[in-house]
Amino acid sequence: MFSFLSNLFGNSKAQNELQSIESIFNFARNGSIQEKIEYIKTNCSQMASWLSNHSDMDDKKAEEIIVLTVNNHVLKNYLIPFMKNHLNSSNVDAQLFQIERLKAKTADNIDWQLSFDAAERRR
Amino acid sequence: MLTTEEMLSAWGKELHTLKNETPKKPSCELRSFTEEEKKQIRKDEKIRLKKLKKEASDKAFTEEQKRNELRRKERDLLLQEHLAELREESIQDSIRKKKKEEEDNMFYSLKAENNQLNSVVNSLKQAGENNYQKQQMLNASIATVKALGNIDWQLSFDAAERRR
Repeated sequence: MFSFLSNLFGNSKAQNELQSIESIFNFARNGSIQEKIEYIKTNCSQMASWLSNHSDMDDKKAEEIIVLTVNNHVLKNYLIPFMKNHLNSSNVDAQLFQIERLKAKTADNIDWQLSFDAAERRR
Repeated sequence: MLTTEEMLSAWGKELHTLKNETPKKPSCELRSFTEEEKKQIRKDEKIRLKKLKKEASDKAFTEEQKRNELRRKERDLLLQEHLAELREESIQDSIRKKKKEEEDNMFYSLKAENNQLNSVVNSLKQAGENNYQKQQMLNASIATVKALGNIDWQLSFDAAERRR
């Protein structure tokens, strides 16, 4: 995922942002449950309160809920906005359209020049 | 409070004592009792004995009733206690069920949200890939335009040279 994004977002500003997102994403994947609980306490107060009300929950289910909460929060608040922002800001289509027009115009010029040269030579 | 058995036993002892106290040889006064009087005494004694027995029996019956009443109250109390425990257990059980339902709902809603977010990420990734390919095409087109520009310039230059 991140090697692809890294290739895609080549400029240094995006790279820095990408690195910070990557570290959060790695935390969501590999962080301990205790760290994730702390993350929830800091970033999702409602969910923290819900978990506190269900403190006698089955351990396995609690773990699954904590993992999903952190994953969803990271995707929703960091990765998806970053990708959307990048896609919105890139104007490849417009640039491609412009360059194609330029290419056609240059090709026309060459064509005209060659025809002109040929006519000159015939004279 | 004496039980029936205890009363009967006490009465038995009293009778035995009375019998023992009765002189072996009747006194002159006793001897002077007529048969009719003796009959009457026995009859009175029988009545007294019957009355005592009835009293003892009534008392025993009342006590038995009291004991039964106590046992019944005790049973009622135990039953009430048991019912209260069952009610409390049922309340706790329904709270547990409700909580479990909430936990299941939370899990499934998070799971659904996760699937949705992953699908958004995949779409964005696909769009990013497309964008990347377009960028490659753009770079190639820029190179082509540059090359064509050079040719165009060269041809114009040659034509100008020839005109001179």
